[in-house]
Amino acid sequence: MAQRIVIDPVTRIEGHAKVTIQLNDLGEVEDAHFHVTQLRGFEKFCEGRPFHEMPSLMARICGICPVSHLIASGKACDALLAVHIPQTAENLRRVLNLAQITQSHALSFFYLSSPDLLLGMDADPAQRNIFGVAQMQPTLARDGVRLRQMGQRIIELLGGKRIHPAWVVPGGVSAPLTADNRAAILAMLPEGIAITQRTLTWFRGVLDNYADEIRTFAEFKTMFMGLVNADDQLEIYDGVIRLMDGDRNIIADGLKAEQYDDYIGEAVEPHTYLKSPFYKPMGYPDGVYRVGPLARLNIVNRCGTPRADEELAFFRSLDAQSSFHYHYARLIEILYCFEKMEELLNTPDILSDRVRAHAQPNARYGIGVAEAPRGTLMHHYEIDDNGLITRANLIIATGHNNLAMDRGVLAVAKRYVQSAHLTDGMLNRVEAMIRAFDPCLSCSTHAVGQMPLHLQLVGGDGQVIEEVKR
Amino acid sequence: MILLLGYGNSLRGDDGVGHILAGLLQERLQLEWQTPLRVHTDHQLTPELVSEMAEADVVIFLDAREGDGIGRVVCEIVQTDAQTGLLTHNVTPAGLLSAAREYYGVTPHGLLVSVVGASFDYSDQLSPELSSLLPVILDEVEQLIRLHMFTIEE
Repeated sequence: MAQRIVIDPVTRIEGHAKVTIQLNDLGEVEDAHFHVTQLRGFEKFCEGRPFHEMPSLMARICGICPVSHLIASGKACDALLAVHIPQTAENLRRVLNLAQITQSHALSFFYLSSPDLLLGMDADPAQRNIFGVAQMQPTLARDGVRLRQMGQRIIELLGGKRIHPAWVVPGGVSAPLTADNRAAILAMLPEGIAITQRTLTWFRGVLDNYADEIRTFAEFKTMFMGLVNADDQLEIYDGVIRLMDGDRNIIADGLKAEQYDDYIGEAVEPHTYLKSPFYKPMGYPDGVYRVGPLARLNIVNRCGTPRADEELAFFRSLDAQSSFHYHYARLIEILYCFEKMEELLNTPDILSDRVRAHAQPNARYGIGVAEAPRGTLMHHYEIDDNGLITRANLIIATGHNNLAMDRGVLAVAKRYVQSAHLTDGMLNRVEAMIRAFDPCLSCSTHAVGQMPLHLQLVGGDGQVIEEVKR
Repeated sequence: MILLLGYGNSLRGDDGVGHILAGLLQERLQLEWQTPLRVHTDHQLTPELVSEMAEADVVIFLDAREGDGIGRVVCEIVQTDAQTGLLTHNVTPAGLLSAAREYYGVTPHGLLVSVVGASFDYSDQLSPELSSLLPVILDEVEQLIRLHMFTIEE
């Protein structure tokens, strides 16, 4: 008789999800899906609100990456004003985003995934947590705390508070950087670089322990998408969209992020609240792609900072397809963030008090795109004559990865799950594949009114007796 | 060092009472205590707070709670045997103090002081009911902290 295995909830991710694995009569994995079971509905909440509230409102979408939403929203509002913000304001927003990427990546690598990476996928679940990490390798645990603390502290020094800062406003930022705060941030960076390099050295040393997972996590080829700058380098704030195939051949380049609707479609599946974006020219579901650190490093020629580029050289020797390497890419990006913050904070006008352009709305719609820790983040607003939001569309990084995660779950389940003698380690590998993407579901589930209901009445023999769809 | 940690959503009415108490207690206690006092307020508890706690001898958590008796103050000693409560979306006082012990080998004394609120609806101010009780609550919380400190010293 056909059986179903359910992993509910998927642990050590941001938000709530479940996985179902469908077995055939022989007990072999036949199908598997990743279901996001929570709903937030922010696209509807903000309708009718004044556009200038949007950055602060959108920051409330998530406690992990409020800054990313703040920045994408600020950029969308800049477009509504039709202004070019002062260069200092742009550089300060960039520093804020780099700090955000640092703290979020530290959270993902050290808090959520290091138990698997240090203790092993088959370790006792009672020990496979950050307390187990602290007992086995306290330095690694403390390093994770410190990196996350640095990122949060830099956000606080810039934006006034660590969670939900409201410093990014339409037209720039609300206050300039002080000399004392600049000095305080600069003083932290060398320690951050040293910790990250120490972690990279350790991680390279354990990669061989995961050869099988690395191969399995590569058994579904997809494209990669992200922003890239004019020098073919890593770009987290502006630039153009590039798509590459799984062998790093360019599929599309120089796409204007503001014209995303021309090339990105969004499909809705009955088994999840998370929408499934796809690359329109290839259709659905063939237009599957991945975003985030792995994609960003795959699509660029260089990072653009010396230490990160040294690491990138080794990264290029690895299998670019394997989602396992999201972890490695995350560490390289932390290194890049510290180096880039130092570069930006040493630009001549970083303490300038010209940090905001003032204007009334000059456009009926505005689109803001930036790279969030988990990938490309898109905010699209439309307003009426009074500046009130009439429509909002948010394409969140985790959403871009939805199709890839769904395929990944099936690939990993087929490789590891044996129903005859099911072990925790088998199921943990399915979860670990999802964790590699570091999905943040709280901000990515906002589809209201489009979620189809799919109800199945299944008999004891596994047969569908009745089915209702709407 | 004593760490006063007020947390809660300050846009949800009485949920922000921890922020307000932390600020008022700082004014009262800093003048007369020899032990250095550090105050931190935030929207929620986050994992990286563990390093600040590792530098403290005593951590006073100031939070709001639901329940009967608006303004009622509930005081609990925070136990440090938790092996959970340090997930990113579910950080607890016990989880943080346990992590301080596991990560840094120190275990600060922890006291969770929570105040029953009247309204947790959208507002950046306390409800009138709780606001009117604030002077009494402040006195009570101060006495509880003093008693706790006395007990520790004994």
